[in-house]
Amino acid sequence: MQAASKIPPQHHEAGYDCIKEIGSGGYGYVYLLSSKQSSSQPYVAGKFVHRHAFGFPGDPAGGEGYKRALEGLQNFRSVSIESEYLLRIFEVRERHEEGYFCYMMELADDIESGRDVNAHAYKPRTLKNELERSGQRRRLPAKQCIDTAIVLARGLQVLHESGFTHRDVRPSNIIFVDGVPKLADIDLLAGNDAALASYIPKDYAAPEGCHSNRADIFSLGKTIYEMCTGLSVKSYPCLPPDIRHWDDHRMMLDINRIIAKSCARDLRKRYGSAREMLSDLEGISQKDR
Amino acid sequence: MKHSAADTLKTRPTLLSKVRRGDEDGWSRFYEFYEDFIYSAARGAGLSHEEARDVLQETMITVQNYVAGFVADETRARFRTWLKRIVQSRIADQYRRKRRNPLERAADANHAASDESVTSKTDQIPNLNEIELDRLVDGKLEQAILDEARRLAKERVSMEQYQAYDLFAVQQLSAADVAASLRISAVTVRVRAFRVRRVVNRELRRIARMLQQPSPAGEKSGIR
Repeated sequence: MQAASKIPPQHHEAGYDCIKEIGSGGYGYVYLLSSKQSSSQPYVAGKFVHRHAFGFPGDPAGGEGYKRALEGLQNFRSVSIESEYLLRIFEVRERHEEGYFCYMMELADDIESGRDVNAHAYKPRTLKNELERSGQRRRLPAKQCIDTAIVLARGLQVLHESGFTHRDVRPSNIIFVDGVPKLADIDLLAGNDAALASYIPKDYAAPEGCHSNRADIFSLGKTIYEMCTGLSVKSYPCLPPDIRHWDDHRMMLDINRIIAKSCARDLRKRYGSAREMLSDLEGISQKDR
Repeated sequence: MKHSAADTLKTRPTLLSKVRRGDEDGWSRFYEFYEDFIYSAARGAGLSHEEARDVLQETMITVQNYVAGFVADETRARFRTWLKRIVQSRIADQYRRKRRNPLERAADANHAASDESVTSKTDQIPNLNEIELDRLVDGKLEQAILDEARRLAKERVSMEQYQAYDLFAVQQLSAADVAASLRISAVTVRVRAFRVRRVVNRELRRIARMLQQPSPAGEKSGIR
């Protein structure tokens, strides 16, 4: 498989001005685009997925992967319109003659100014950026962790119940849209099969592989671990030595139990579904009221 | 995705022979396992990031060139000792190179002139005697092996057990503080830490066998 090819910024899509590159994933690059059509969405994120990222020209397996990624995306688009917990895809454009397809989606909040986007200073508010906001790693308060985890588990539940797996859940792939955390980098959505390679780093990947709903739950557990402790995923499952002095210590331990069940290496001990995980997360939230 | 540590160790008995044959997969696994140890030994010897990366590269090249001739038996060097010697030689090479580089010498001289209390790195070379270097490299390898054993233990015990062990045995909190941290009894803390330590020691012995070295004493008793 080749590295994702970059579409030159001067390659404009009709109706949009390309402002700058704002991210990249295994299969393509994401650009900040200003919309000439919509006043309600002056800025969108546009991802360009190149055929070459799936294999050499003429490689049938690569062609199949590219096709599946596009199909998965189109199916996801119809689901995403129905759910407030999923990233919204506004449109998909097929440019096969030019070797790519692209899709326009909701833009993440700016890390500093939220929805008030200054295009040239824009930095997306991802969970990773949120945890490293002050230049060094920090943890989020337990209540905020629970609220964030609940919304992400709901998104995962909708995704799974619609027949998708995400396969790359981690802090850099979670963006905030109007303050709501959503799973981004959705190129790998192609139903529950292993046709597309995942670029998930090994520390987030379930031991049995990343091509199942339960593997997504495992990765979400690791993501919650980083949120709660402020530690790197490499430190999992260690806890900060001063945890007993934290104001929200008791709630952190409740979340710790959910992390343990999400990240169990033995599938029999792991949550069977995002719905089960969500139910436990909501239980902690209700206990706090 | 990189190979897991468990993967690496499971294949270790055949790893050396794969590396000898020039097997690409075996070589990449070998690199992954020893990379951190070699780099941190070089850094520990006072080399910069770039110099330590050079030591890593040069050590790997030397291993690649000469591993076919390495024979592990009772009367000759163990692989661990052989590798240690290569790392030490490559660190010494870096220092020799620095000494020969006039720019480096000038920079060191300026640095020493601006702060007389600090010995320049070039001047430190003679002070880093063979025994110290040997101790340093040995220490880094022991740490790398212990880290590996702990990584493997993490996969074999529950998260709750490992958290108690880490706070108690690694972070050195008292049993009472760990008990307060995890809201369990101090007895439970000791029992969990003891169980994990047993697994860590088992892994240490296994790695020792694979590295063809005498079994280590293991971690000290968890009962404080």
